[in-house]
Amino acid sequence: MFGLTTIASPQGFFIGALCGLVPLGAGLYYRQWRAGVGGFLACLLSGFACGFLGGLPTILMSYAVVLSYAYVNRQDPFTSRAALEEVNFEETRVEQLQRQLANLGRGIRTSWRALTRNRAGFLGFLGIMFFVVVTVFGPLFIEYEGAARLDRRQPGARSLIAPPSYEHPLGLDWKGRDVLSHMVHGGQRLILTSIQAGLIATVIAVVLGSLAALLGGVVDSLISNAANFILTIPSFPLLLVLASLVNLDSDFLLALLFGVLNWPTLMRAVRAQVFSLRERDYVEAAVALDLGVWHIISREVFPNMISYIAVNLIFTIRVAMYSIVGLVFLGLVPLSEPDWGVMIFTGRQQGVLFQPQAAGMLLAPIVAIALFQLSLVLFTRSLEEVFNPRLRSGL
Amino acid sequence: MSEVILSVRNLSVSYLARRGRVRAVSNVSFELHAGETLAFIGESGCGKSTLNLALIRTLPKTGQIDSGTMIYTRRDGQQIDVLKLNKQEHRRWLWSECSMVFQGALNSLNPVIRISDMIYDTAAAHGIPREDARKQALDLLEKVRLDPQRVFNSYPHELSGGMRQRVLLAISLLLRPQIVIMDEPTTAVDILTQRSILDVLKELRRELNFSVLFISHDLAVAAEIADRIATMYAGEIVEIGPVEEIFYRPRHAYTLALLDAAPRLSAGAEELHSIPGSPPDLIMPPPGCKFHERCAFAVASCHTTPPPLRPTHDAACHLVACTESERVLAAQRKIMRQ
Amino acid sequence: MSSLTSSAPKLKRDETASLLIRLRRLTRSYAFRIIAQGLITIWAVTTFTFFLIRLMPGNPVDTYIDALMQQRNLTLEEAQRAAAGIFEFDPDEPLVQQYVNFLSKLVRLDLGKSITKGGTPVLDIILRYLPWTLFCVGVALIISFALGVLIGLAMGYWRGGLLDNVMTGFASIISGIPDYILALLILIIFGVQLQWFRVGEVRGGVDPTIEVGFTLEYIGSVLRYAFLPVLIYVLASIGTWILAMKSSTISTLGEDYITVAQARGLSERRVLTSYVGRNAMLPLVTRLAISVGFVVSGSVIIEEMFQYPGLGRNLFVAIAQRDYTTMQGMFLVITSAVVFANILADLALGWLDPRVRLDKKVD
Repeated sequence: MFGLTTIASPQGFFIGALCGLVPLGAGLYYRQWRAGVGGFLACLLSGFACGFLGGLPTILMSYAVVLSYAYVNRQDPFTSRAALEEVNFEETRVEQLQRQLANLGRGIRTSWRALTRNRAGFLGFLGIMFFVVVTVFGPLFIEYEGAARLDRRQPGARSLIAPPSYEHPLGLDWKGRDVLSHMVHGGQRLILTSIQAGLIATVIAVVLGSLAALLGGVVDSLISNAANFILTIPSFPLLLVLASLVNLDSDFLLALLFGVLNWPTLMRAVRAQVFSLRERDYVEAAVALDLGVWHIISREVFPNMISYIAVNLIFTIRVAMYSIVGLVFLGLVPLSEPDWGVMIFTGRQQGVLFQPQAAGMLLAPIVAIALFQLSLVLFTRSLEEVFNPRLRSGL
Repeated sequence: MSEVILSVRNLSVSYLARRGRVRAVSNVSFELHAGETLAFIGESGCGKSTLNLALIRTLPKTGQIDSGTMIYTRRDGQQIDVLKLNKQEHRRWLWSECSMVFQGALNSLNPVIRISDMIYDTAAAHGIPREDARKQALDLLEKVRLDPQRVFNSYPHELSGGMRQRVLLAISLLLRPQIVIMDEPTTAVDILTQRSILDVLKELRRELNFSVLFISHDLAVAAEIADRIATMYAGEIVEIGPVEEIFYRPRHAYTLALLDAAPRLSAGAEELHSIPGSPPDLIMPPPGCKFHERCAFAVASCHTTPPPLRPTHDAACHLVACTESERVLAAQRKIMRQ
Repeated sequence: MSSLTSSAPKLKRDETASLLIRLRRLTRSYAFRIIAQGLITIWAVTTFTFFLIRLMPGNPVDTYIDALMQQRNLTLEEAQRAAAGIFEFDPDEPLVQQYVNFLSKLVRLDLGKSITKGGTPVLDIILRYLPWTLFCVGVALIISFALGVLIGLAMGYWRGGLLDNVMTGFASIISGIPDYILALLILIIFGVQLQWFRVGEVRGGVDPTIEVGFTLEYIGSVLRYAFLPVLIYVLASIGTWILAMKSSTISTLGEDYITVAQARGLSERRVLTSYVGRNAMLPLVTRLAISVGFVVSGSVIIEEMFQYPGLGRNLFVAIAQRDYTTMQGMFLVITSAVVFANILADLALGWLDPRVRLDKKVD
């Protein structure tokens, strides 16, 4: 229920429904029917998908959205719908909380609008959602076939491989197993490991970049030189060499290794940004007030960098997936089914690459990876709009 | 007065914007005489720069010339309508007959090639032998008070802002054009550099005798360099006349306001007046005189009928588009007396 | 007379002084800086791999000794001696001494002997496979960069035209798909399903039945076998070039010097090439170096897929066979090649953009 392994479960459905009552109730209370029902559905789905891990944050977000429709900002009589005589500049703690929630909700609505504005980007978003939905909810409907199904051998056939048919829309693989079931079950590990790798790289980059720029001197030149060094080495061959030296039997280790090798690009950008920010007055003021490094990073640096970081995260996830599938393709990491990469590896190993009727078995994971990567690239275009403060301000 | 070399009649230019058509220049007519300097003054956005881009037909893609004629008289006396030239003829006309010094010298030179290559490029485009171009360029660089050999072989980034501006000036005269358009040539440089550029310009004019269309919002510079002044407001010329007439006997309320807004040595800071309001929307311009919303002299007719540009009573060469020009002049006299 | 004798040493001193000045000028020069940086990187990579291979838990030397003991029933000492022979080091020596020996051999281009290939010098193996990869990757990079820049320039210049609309979609899609996935797609769709080419025939670097030599037949075969890998490298990288060049062109077109060039009456072609094109290309040249790394990375899988006899595939083979000396040598060469490409790209940038050659402006 917790942790990063996310597969839809029946309990999750109830958790989601339970969570959904909050925005639904809020919707009824504020008479914002559409927002309430939308919030209920969002909670239901995310609870269904990830249990409490998905349900609880969605409560907050959907409630904030519902509130943002109904909220009357008493502090700001010019842009809100409050009548002037209602204006009261003193607010209670509750009202303050409400205002912040409404702001959050408004931000979510703006982001959503920005997301849908760019057609290519939205297409990418839908593509990612498609894979997420299939990976998360697919296992509920399609059971995984791990063992060989010799009973499916057609009379007179030389192999168990079969082209797509009605019962098996993507055909059968070399052990007679349903390719669709492998597709549905085989994406999760790959996607999660890639995301982990991307997150690790991003965290390292942001921390090191900020440190380099803020501390300067020896630390800066040390980090910068390390970054230049890693950037020059072609990363995939290095990953291969390391994979031969370290036994990469855990996904987390693989993600960590990738993260350690792929932080320099973002680190440089963060460093440059922090350097330029350091010169600005408000940061100098923060330094003068002795607000601490982390305050400066989280309040001043991060909001300015978020767009670049998000786009870079997506690209790092992309490259991580590329590298992981590449390692699997070459058979340099321990293989475990079900996995899209392993499907390609075994397909090639079994020599089915050259069999026309085996197209389903090989093409399915290939096309899935291609589409997922493409979706990620397209999605970055929307991300740029979502995080662009200039575009966001115009609600 | 000397002969007319450029006669612009009813020139209108518009830009296509999302909200509609922006009439950046409407019905502008003026004449440029051989050897004279005509300065256009006005606020930013009044159409000065657009007018000049239209004169050399290098408007951005969204801009277009709606109507008008531009009769240019060659040195041999032949008259041509510049707007009717085809692409190839126009390309040849550019720079050899009419060149331009752009504002922002920093970005006007291609950063990756030498000054010499830019000069050779220009020469090659107009069929002039390299050696002639080189000699001519070295001569001109010396005239603009630069070290010719060194600058000729330099890259733009090796030169300072003032040097680059003078290089631009030299390049603009490379093909001995009759007209040089100068778009705020002195705004991006400091006051001393500005001084030296103006001196160089005056000297060159005396020597080479070309006409200048000078665009500036700096009245002091315009007053110093120009023979005649044209005030532009909202895409129209509202007043045009000899420099002394415009500065000492302005007849248009807007010119008076501009003069009043300019800092003077004799007056204290408290006497600086800004012009109230902002320039009108050029997509849907107001009816009548476009300045009436901001004008202190406006009467009822100003709101409905646009005043035509016509000569004043006492000077035939001084044209103004204002029905209340006598009151404006009286107001100016009052200010002067103070 | 006395003046003559006194002027001689002075002259000499002047000479040494001028030599010093020249030396200083050299060390400050752009090219020197770039090359020195590259050499330092190569040295760092060498050191890094040396210690990585020897200090990692379960390092290859120990693994090899274990394997020898198990396979050939040797005692620990015998196995150690055998391993020392192959790895060419004395296990009793301190690590620093080993490192110095390793470096001094490296300077003499001695990369050691292969573990699996019966003691063949690693350098020989590398020299056998390097030309294939250099040829394939080099040709692909040149084609994709040149083509991408030209297409992107045209798209940016005639923005909103047919070419722009069609190619933007194409480039977005092609740049989003990884190279080996693209290779598999091409193999399966055009090779296996549509049978435009025989999949089995394009494996390897050249038709083995053709005699090696500088003949038309041989060269033709080499080109034919290289066609698919090159096509895949080009397709996988051209999208990025196109999109980058397009946006760079659009921003360059907004520069004042383009308007000035047009106003000077320059022909459209001249403006497009030396004013728009050259300036728009500058940011791409720096990316060229990064791209070299990507293509080289991709070459491991692509070469393995096509059984192409290049360095990438053989690096993989060495890794799969745990042939650490070969692996170390190949990794070193691949990295050096990328570093070298970086140097070339930086020098090219210096040649194209005079501003990067100098640090300070003359005012």
